[in-house]
Amino acid sequence: MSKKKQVLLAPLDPVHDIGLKMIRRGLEHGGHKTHLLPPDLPAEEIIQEIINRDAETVLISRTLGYGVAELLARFVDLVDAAGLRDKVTLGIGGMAIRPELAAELGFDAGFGPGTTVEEAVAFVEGKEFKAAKQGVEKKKVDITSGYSYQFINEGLGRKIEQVAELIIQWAENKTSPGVRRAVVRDELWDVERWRNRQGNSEFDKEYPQLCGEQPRNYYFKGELHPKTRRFTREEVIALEKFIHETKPRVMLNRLQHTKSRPVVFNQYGTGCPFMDIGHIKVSEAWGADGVVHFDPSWGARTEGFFDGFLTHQEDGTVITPANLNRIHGGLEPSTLWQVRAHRGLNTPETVVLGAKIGADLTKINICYGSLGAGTDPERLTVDGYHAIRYAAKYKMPFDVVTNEELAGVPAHKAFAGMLIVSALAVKLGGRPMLQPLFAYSPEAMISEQMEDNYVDFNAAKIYALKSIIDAPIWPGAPIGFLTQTEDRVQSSTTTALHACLASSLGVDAISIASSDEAYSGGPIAVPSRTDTLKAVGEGFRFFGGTGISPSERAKIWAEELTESIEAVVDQVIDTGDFVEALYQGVLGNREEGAYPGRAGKGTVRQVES
Amino acid sequence: MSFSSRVIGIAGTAKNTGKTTATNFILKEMHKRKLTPALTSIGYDGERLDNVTGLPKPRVPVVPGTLVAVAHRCLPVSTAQVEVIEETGISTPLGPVVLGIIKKAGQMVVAGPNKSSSLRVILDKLTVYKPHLILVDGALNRIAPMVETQGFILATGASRSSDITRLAYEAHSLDYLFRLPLYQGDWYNYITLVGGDQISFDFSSVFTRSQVDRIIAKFSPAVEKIIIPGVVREELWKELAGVISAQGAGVTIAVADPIKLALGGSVGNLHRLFEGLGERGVAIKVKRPLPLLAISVNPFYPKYRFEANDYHPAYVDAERLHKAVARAVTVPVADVMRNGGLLLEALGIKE
Repeated sequence: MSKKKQVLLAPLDPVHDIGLKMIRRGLEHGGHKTHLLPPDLPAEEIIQEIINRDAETVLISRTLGYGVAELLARFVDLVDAAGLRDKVTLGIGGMAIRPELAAELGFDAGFGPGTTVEEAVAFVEGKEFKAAKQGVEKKKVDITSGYSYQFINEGLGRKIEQVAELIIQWAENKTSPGVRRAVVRDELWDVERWRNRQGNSEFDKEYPQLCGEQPRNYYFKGELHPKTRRFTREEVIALEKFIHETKPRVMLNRLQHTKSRPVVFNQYGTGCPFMDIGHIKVSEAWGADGVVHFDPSWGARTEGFFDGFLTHQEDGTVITPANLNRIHGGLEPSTLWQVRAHRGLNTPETVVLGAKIGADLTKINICYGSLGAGTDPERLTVDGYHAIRYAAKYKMPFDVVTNEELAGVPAHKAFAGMLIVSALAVKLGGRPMLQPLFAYSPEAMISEQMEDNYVDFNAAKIYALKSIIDAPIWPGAPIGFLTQTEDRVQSSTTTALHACLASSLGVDAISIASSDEAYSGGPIAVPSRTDTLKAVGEGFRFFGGTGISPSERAKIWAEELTESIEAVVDQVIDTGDFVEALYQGVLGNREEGAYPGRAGKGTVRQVES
Repeated sequence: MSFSSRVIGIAGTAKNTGKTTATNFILKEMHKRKLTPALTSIGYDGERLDNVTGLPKPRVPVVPGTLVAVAHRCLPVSTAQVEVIEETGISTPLGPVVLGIIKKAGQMVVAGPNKSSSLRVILDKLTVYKPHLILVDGALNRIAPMVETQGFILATGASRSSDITRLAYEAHSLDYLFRLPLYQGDWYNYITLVGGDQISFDFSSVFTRSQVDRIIAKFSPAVEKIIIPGVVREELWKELAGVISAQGAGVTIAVADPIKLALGGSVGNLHRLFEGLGERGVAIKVKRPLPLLAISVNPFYPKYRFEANDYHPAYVDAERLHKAVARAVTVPVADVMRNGGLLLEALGIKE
């Protein structure tokens, strides 16, 4: 126990003494004797109080303005000239105070915004003063822990599981170029050898044979994709310098207030891994718990990956081992990293590559990928099946995204597909996370479920899912999408409100967009990224453990939604073939904006035994 | 005192009065003459932007061989390369002060000890390395630690006030206070009335009316000297002066040093008060004189814009400022941008 101190607290502002009063409580708690002086005393009178009370520490609070620095400096001078400077320790706190300013003013310590009572107490107790280590300690969270994946709606659950069984029987003896590349990547590619530039000769021989024309030209002729270029040596040096200088300065923050959920994800994918790392560092510092890698749309239509440290893509950052590896090297240890595998011709290989490089999470949905994202249903069912098996093997949880809703597919159809894929995942040993669209969907626009408010229909979706299965829910992607306009305040506000609704509904994670995501017309700007992170944090602070009460309609809609989901599953069962159901539009048809994709059509083969 | 241990302070009447510009000028001129400077600061200097106004500030360029005494956290933010030669254990908000020698030229951020007693320790340590001159850069309007120097340059200018007449009068008053005659006689650590029944009080500074009342109550025609080791608040000086001047000629007021006088309040008011006392035959003397070596003037000031709630650079007439201050004081006055040579002369640095 340290010696009890006599502490003078001197507010030099008529109103801003709340901080001092909080510190006073902490000091008295620690057994120290405090005297809170009246506000705005002249320097000489404070010094007389130091003498009268034999004070050992003086804590002053003052908001800074021009001329105020001189006033504070004169106070320190007077303490020195009065011969008291060696007997008394001086601390200053206030909005604009930083250690540099405290040094300039002659104080022993400066406390800026965010200073904790504990730090001030440690200073008074003379424990070695370290410039307030701001930020928080963070650890990676397993979003899926604690879930049983048991169907609560057992009747519906049995039907969904029946469809999952159909898929397994249909897919287990089939393969595709995508699956074969994943096998090669899984069996022949040693990430450590690759990192050490030792080569993976067997892999290097096999892999290009399984690729499409563009990646093959890369491996055989060194041709890059026309939309990319290699980083220059100078750029690589600059990146390494940036990481070296930035990492020690990054202070992590938390967006959640008293609740620990939802975990917040921010996406990146500027096309330039260097810029991505910058965006990731900003996301981390402003409180994001995880980041999501966005790759370009052509990647989904290309058989195979390039390699090399590549930049200059326009809509997302190219997945190559080198790009992922560099980005992984820029992450804080506590940041969850999702590499999406969900939709294209490289789905199973993305899972393997991501896992080997260090991704924590991935994203797989056969239905969305083959109805909203352009891959042939037959091909993506085979690839998705194997992707899920690899996700299970590498213990990577994945979300089952339902962004086909953004194309116009009604929620009940998208949800039926999501639940089927999730049930398949559970059967294959995976840890799926449900990702309902949490936004102003085209369906709601047309059918007017959000005419009055954005609360009820979004709540209905969560209620419905929670009534069906005990599984983690991660709305997205991103939340509030299609409510955002080019007005950054509007975008941030609506994102924060959706985040608070998600929190109130007790979901596990959310994906948020930057405030200019929908309208940037190119890479998003860092300030707009911090907008929504800040707004979400403020929203969580505002609501804390309280919640938002949806109206009765939410429950009614939830029941309707559940019934409609069941009707869709029944139809799939009637079709007798999941892939055929996809082609027929049972899980979303052309009228609803869902077109069976064509990429990879005719590439599925029976496994020769 | 040998030249090799000369310690010069550079103090200012306010922020942005040109302390760093004067420091940089002296460093540059010493470098030209192959003289070794040592540099420390009682504040924080060399940042790119002012901590309050956000306007750009001069940084401190240093060359190899220069000695520095700086807080640890100055090292990574300086572009100059510093070899640490000694840890001092003196703490500051920016970490402990270390002594170092510049190995590679660059910009230096300089923050040093924040109080007189720590500055004394640092100066003793720097002296061991025998620099030609030790420069103590000030901070804001802080002057108390300058008591540890052997003389100082005062930077004043439009940042203190854009009223040139007021600046000149203030300089005149400071010049007066720093030229007060030397007191040689008995000294006490508490306020003491010498003569008659000698009385020592239990305080060294006069900050409250009751303290003045206690002094006045004991004041008698027998008092010859008043020893004041601390600071007296300006309005209490007035009370004391009334009683002392009623007493008449022959009384000596002995104060510790001119800095403690200047800290009492407005130097203009104090100057007038002491001149009035002098006319009545009351002598004001200082136990430890601190020579004001020169004044540097700076026409720059950060002008506040209400409509934008920010500051932008502004200037008063440099020529008028220089002339007005030069006329008002007995020491050399230099505008570093125009006639910095005067500063060098005042420091005894020759071509």
